[in-house]
Amino acid sequence: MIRLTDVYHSYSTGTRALRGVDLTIEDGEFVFLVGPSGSGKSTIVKLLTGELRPTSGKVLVNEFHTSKMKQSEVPYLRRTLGVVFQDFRLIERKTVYENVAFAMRIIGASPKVIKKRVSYVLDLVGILHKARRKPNELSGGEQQRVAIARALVNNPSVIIADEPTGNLDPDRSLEIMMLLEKIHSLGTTVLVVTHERELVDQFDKRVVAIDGGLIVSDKTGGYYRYEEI
Amino acid sequence: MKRYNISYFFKEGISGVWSHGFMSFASVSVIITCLVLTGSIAFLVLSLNQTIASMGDLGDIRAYVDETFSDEEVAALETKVRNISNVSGVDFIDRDRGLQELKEEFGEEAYLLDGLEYDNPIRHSFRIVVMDIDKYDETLAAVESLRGIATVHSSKNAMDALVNIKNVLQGVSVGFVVLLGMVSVFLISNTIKLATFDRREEIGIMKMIGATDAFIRAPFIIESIIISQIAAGIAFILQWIICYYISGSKFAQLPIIEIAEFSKYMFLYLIAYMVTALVIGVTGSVASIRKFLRV
Ligand SMILES: Nc1ncnc2c1ncn2[C@@H]1O[C@H](COP(=O)(O)OP(=O)(O)O)[C@@H](O)[C@H]1O
Ligand SMILES: [Mg+2]
Repeated sequence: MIRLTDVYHSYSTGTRALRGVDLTIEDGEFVFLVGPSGSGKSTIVKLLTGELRPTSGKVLVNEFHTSKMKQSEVPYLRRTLGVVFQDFRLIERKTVYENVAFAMRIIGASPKVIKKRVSYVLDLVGILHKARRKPNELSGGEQQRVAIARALVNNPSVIIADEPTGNLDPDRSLEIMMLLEKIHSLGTTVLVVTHERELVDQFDKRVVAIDGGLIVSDKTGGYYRYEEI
Repeated sequence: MKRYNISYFFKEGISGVWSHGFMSFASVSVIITCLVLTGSIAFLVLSLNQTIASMGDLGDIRAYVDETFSDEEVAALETKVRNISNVSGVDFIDRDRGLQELKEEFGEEAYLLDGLEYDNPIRHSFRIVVMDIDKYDETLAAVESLRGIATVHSSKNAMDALVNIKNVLQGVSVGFVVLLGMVSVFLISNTIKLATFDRREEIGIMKMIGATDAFIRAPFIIESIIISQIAAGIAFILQWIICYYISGSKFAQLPIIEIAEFSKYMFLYLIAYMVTALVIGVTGSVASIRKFLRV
């Protein structure tokens, strides 16, 4: 579960990125977080992953109070999350298989378990046939599938995707969204950050809109509403 | 650390050594220089110690006893001499043996001493073996201060000279260790800094997917350990060759010079090199990666 309570965040430059955000996402939900560029979406993601601490307010993610946790606990918080970014963030010198297996190796999984699980998730995201390729031999959509496989491989309770389709053409974007929806249907909480209206409108999901560091709308029904406000 | 990770750490560490070939080479070279210079001086110190020890008589103190002392008093005095700290052995030489030894020293001209048996002018004496040459002066003073010791003969000046040389060498070797040690740490830390800089994106990714700092750090520490142990190994072989040549040199054939046997200290050298190099390597790498792990 994710719960932000009266969260403020100011960067050291003085930018007040979040100005009193309250947001709860229950286990098993699928939520779009939308808003214009600079509205504070990525700041929320960074608070959830422990990369940033709130200036004030409480951030609860899967039993971790990121507002007051020790730095040494951050890796353990991140193991309960799968994070996907616009720029994929794959390790170029490793194969697709190795990129995904590596996430399991980090948590000390045994080679046997790794082999089975990696093949399973690569198959799930539809990229198993390219397991031996390096990331730069793949298209953007394929690379994002690998990133999603990596996010998924340690069986996190929450997947957070920050503009996962920002670098992809509309068809590829839709495919990625459908993949995230499929993952959601298998029982994972999914939070997708985006500003692509057409994409959001194609799904009948909860949409939270943020503008200027404040939640301005929170409705279920698949409409990209923040522009109306 | 899980067993599964060890091979990963080593694979990454070794590839790091190769991909920063020049820096690795520089680090290895400086560590070797540091070890071999220090080790060679240490070898000279060892040899000097052995030379001092082999000088036997030269290092001994000869203390002559007041002739008015009775046998009981002499016996009591011997106990006192034995109890002086830093005295490792006392040989009591009575008047007759003293004369006998003197005759032996005279050799051909011993006839000059004929007749002295009837009115032996030689006093009883102790030959005192000093344990630690560095405390020679204190020991000598302690012997002189005993009541009943009439005169003392020692080779204090010769001894002092040798001890001085030894101390200078020891000081120089400590200086080398400190100076070259610092240069080594600096070089290795730059090598590792380069390695972490090359991998900064990967480090970011690893952190994002929940790697602990220890996991991220391990390959870099292994890299520095590999560098340091390669250096230790090469330094050891070089040292072996150098000592072999010193032993075979003209210098070693001088009659008073005793060269230490490298084989006797080989194991010690190997361990010392490995440990010193390890300390240098780990210090260097830990100093340089701390910065990159802060997010
Ligand atoms: N590292 C940073 N330092 C200073 N200001 C930042 C930093 N990151 C983001 N900001 C500012 O905070 C605001 C919110 O940014 P962000 O959360 O990245 O927005 P979004 O993801 O919605 O585009 C923006 O005004 C942005 O310029
Ligand atoms: Mg953003």
